[in-house]
Amino acid sequence: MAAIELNGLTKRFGESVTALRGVDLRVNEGEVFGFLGPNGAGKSTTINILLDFVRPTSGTARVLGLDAQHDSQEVRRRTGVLPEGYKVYDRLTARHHLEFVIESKETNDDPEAVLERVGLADAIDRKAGDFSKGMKQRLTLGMALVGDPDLLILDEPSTGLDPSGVQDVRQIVKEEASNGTTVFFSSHILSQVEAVCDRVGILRDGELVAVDTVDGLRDAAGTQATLRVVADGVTDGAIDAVQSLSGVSSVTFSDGVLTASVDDGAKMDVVTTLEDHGASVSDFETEEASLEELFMAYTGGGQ
Amino acid sequence: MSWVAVARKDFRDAIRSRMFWALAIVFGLLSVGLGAAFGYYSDQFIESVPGNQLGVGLVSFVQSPITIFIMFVSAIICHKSIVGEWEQGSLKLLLSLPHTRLEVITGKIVGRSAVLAVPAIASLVIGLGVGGALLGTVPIVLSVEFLVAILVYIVLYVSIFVGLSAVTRSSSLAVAGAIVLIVVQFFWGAIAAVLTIVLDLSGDADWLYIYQSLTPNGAFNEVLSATLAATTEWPAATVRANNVDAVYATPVLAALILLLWFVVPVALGYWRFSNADL
Repeated sequence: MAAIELNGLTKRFGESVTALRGVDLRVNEGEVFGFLGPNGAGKSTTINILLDFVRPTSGTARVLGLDAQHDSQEVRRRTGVLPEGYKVYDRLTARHHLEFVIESKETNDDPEAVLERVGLADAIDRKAGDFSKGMKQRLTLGMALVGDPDLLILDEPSTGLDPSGVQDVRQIVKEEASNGTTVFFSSHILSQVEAVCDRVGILRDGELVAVDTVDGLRDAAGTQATLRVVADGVTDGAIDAVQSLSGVSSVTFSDGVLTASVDDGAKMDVVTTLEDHGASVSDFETEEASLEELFMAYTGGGQ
Repeated sequence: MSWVAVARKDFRDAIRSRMFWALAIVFGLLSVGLGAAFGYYSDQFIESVPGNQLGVGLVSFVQSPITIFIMFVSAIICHKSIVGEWEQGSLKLLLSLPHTRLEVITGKIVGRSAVLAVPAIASLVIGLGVGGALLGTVPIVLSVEFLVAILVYIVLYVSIFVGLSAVTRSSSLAVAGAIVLIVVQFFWGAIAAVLTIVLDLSGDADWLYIYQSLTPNGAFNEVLSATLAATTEWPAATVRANNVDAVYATPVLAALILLLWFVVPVALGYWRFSNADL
């Protein structure tokens, strides 16, 4: 069964604004799915439809096998949500917030244990209004974890978090995923997506332009890896020879380091070609294209 | 039953606000002040009380200022109940939990009613007690019925203003709506006087019965008078229907209008709210 299934999902606001244009997507159970796109691409609109905050103009959304509109209450009972653009209740403490969620979801979680997981146990009896943005984010993440949800929907979870907070979120996502929870999160912080996601979908201007694994996206985008070779005795002839190899481009050499953009499979050709031309290679490393570059290729490239 | 969670959250939130305590203190001072004033000066007031009954005088003396106060306070604490959470974004937190939008509205009405009812009832019990002690007589049955009526009145206005809050798209619109409803009621009598002259209706005053029962306060007061008159020493002359000679001039009509005030604003609010994109 699919944890999330979108079919031809379209949403127009008024006459002129089209937020989603026929999005088809299937997120499998137990998967960690990253939902990427620039601001205004339709990420939050998609999430809002999953939670029945917003109704689609056409198309359908199913969550955990249930209709996102008609069975919304059951969907939300089994889903933990970190919404985007939320506000906590300033006068209530962290404990009050969790008690509210626990009562709403009719579970018997221990507020203290939940706050322990998100690193907020020390502040359990402090008013949420006095919290920093990062603490509010941790609190809301804690609220999302109540009731051991089958699906976690995290909308820009790293907003307002410092690097250790981002690390904590990543850790929690991994823990939840290893317990079989499906995680669907939107982000524009790509390194975070890259680190935890099984698959990634890229949304651009209301259309899903790519869905694949992080590796698969790299292949599909044809983006090359950067190869650095540390070598002595590199002659101009050697550099020319490397330059002429297929799948190799942008060759430069300085301070004993040769740098080139290479396709998969061409790496060893570079190394052996250098050695054939009398150079002695002492070390080499490749650096994969970052998702940042991929992202540019999909959402802005060629425009 | 998830509205219980919403109501509890709302109540917890409200009682931690300074405004709640200010409200409770004003409520207490007003009730005790009114009760004590009537107790001390009953000999001066008693002339104007129908039937010269002290207990009736005490309750009617307290009733009018307290109901007006409740009307204002419920507007203040309810106009933002839905639209405020909407504007600020806490509604996303609330609705990401398994509550239907109807449960949110129900929870809000119950929670905010409790916020008003707790200080109102506590203050009135003390106020009527003080007044009764000074008079040497406490009208027990009348007081209990009056307290129940105040609860009904609180739920009435909380429903109206929560409904209004669910209908509107901005807090300022909700404020405007609340002000209009309150102000129009204050001028309701004056408007009738003008209509009587302009339309030359002085020969036939029966239409006034319906007219005066159209507002929430008009309908409520008529139903309250009729109920109290039927069950206590409350004077029957205060029931407007008894002074109008028309078939439709009966408290049942006022009760039906009152019922509409309970149902229609909430129904409209629910209809708008449940169809809205957040």
